[in-house]
Amino acid sequence: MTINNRSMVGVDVGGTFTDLFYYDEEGRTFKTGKVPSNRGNEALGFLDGLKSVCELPSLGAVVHGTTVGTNALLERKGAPVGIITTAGFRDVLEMRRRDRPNTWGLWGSFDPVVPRDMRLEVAERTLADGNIRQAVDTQEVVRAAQQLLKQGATSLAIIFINAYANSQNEIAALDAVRDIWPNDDIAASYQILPEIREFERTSTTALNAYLQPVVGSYLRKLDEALRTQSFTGSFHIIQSNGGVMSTETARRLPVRTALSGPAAGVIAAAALCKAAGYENIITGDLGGTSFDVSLVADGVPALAAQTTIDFGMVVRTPMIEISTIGAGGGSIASVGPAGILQVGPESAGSVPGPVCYAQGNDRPTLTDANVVLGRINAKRPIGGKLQSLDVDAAKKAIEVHVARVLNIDVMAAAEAIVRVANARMAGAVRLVSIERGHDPQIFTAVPFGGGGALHAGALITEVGLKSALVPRFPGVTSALGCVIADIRQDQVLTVNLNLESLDAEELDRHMVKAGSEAEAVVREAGLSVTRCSTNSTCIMRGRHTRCRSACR
Amino acid sequence: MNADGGKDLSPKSRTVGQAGRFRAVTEPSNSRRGGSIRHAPPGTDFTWSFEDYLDNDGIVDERLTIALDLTIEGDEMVLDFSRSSPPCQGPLNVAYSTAVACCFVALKHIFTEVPANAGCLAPIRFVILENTLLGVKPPRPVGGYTETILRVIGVVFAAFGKVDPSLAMGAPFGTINALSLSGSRSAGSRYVMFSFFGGGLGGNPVSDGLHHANNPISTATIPPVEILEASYPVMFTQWALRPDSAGPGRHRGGVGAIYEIEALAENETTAFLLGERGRFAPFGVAGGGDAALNLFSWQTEDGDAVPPMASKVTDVKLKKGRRVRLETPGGGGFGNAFEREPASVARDVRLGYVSHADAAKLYGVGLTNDGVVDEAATAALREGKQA
Repeated sequence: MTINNRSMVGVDVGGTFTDLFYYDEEGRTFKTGKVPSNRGNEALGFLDGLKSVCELPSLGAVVHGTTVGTNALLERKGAPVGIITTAGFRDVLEMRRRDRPNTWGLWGSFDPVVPRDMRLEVAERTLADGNIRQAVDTQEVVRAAQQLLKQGATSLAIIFINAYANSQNEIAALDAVRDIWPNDDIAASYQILPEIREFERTSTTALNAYLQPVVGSYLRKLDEALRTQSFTGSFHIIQSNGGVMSTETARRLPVRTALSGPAAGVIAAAALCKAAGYENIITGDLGGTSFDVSLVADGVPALAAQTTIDFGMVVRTPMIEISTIGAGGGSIASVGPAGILQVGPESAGSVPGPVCYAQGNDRPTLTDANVVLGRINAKRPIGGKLQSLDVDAAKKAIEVHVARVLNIDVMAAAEAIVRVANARMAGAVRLVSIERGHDPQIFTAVPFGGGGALHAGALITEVGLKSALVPRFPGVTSALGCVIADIRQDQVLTVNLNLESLDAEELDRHMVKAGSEAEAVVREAGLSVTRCSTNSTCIMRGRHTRCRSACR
Repeated sequence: MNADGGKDLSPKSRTVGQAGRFRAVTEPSNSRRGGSIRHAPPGTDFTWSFEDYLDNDGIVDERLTIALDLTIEGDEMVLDFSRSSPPCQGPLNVAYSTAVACCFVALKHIFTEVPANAGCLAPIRFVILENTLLGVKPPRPVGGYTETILRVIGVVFAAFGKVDPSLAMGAPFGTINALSLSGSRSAGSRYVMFSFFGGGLGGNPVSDGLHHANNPISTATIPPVEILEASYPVMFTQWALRPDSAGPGRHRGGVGAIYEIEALAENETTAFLLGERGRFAPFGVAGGGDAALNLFSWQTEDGDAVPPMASKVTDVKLKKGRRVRLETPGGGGFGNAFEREPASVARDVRLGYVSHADAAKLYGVGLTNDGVVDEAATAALREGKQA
């Protein structure tokens, strides 16, 4: 069979469904698909899905949005990591930035992904100005690595204080242990994030090491499965910044997949709207348990410097800014002890799901309210799993848990649930727009995910948005984004220079070096590249202030 | 009074949405463990009292009392601080409005689900007198008030923990530790590095306390070492968790931290510290033990020096290369430490939160040299201690 180099499939593997979008650039045809995800053995659902939309032997490329890394972090299913760090600093990962899980309430504790006895110290010190105060003793590093191996570490992270300013000691340590470490799952912090702030660099480097074997073996399995089906095209991964990267890069930098799927959704929404003449949009992805919001101004998605996967688990790398609140279709409506109706963050998820799914949940959800109000057609449920939805059960749940408690009619109670959910979603939209200085009146709401469009009208009214645009295939937006996305490589570097003593040539050298490194990653990614552009942004701080601003 | 003999708060306040939980606290209920209110005859009012102390005001070396008498009275709760110390000469006084505000902060930490609106303030009455350090008027100095309000928040936690043990938590580390290092850089410009430091939170009914957290009055994060070192002529030689600093308990407190800083400036560096908990440790609850005291020291020609007033000192002079060291308290423990799972104690020892010696002494857990629980030794220790 001949390969159609201009055909590709975007595959977004979510918790419940695997969504697919096939596009043949030559034949100008496309096809969408949705199959159940196979948790634990994603390769199976992945292949089933691919076969449902195309012939694998002739397919040119597969681009994949994955949550396997994020899930491994949330479920703490990464590899045993050992850390070698500067004497006096082994607790940086555990001390965080002196925060706590909740603003209100002081309960709860924190277990870092690398426990304290797996973090060893060596004598070495680099100063903030880059001077080496104490050179690293590579023999001591080797002994520490051997000790960590003995204690069961399979990944190694080397993280020294001030390595962003001078990575010499880290490089020496890395070279010394390479010979004795039994695999390639080994990295120094300057390679992962050469940026000031030891906790964020430590957390990102440690989480990367924690994910490397997990994401690596996942991608290897998928790759092998594809090859057994005579697939000979290229296989790429979507990263959190909305760009495509090679599987080789993904294996080296798995933390960059943290927001892979959701980022692809924003890329797709931005591209669709641009084609339709809308450059200012606010996307709203309403899933089973959460509502994800992103802002795209002048066609460019807003970027964030970091995200917190869970308390104390910070990943710092440029990424599409996505704000999440716990309000989705499965969010449970309840009346709190103070007599106030709330929707979420507790969720029935997709299993058992809303009451109307008749899968064992008897507490009303947002979807139940929509069903009772006739806003969802109970006779034609989406997803294909159920024949019809149980309206009476949904009504009864709202009656028992909300209407009677508040002493109101069941329909009024259902309306109240939708209104509270709308208010929460509107709050999330305000957070990314008004509170960041954007005028909502010029933005178009772009709802996607299962039930986003149901709430678009309310968002226009509540926040004062301009209009709404519902994609033709709202259920496969992230898969579409995989097909649309460009190859992209972000690099950051702290240079700590003052403007008055600025050595322009030195800054230029830094920028050219970072640019050519990034470009090399793009060129070597194995996708056809028609054009490559490099953008530089300097983030500067006013002297004696803490305000930072970015200059392109 | 409602039908089942409990106390209701006023309907007025219920409609604005907070009374439900407060009522639940004062309601007799079999689901609540050991609440004294359950055994009291209905219709009477109850008062719970708790006191804690500040080391001193930094001028007069005498302890200062923060005393709370909490009364649930019909549809009102009264927080009466009348037995607290008189106003002090140093800056640890508090104005009335500040005292009230920090009580609301404490209540919001206890009753997290009660929405913050005007209605939730209605059924709470305060007795804060002008002749105590919590209700001062100008020109009394209040610059160090954050230490005092942490103690106020602690006694509110403790009093509610007595009302209902399911709300009890060991005291948070409870000191701001405002540390300043200042001097001039080689280029001549002046600098002041002024920072606050973290410590442990208290053990509680659901979990051990959090290690190295901020105080209940704040969500501010601590600056990174690398940014401090890039901004000031200092070098941190240690930034670590502090072993054996948490209060022991069935759920122990979180541990505090050790910060050690070396002065790098060619010229003399001057340090001052406004801290607390140098003499009165964060308390444990429900049988849990106290955490470690706050320790501050600095290097001199004659060895290490400590503040004469325990937690406060000004005008410490440091030559280049000399260090200051701050060891912050952990949080108080929750519940009897002898009931802590021996395996959890072994884990604490393995991870270095608790020493071998403290495991035996405070938890009654014997460990082999490999760190494994020695069941015979543990049984003997626990029996011996309890007898």
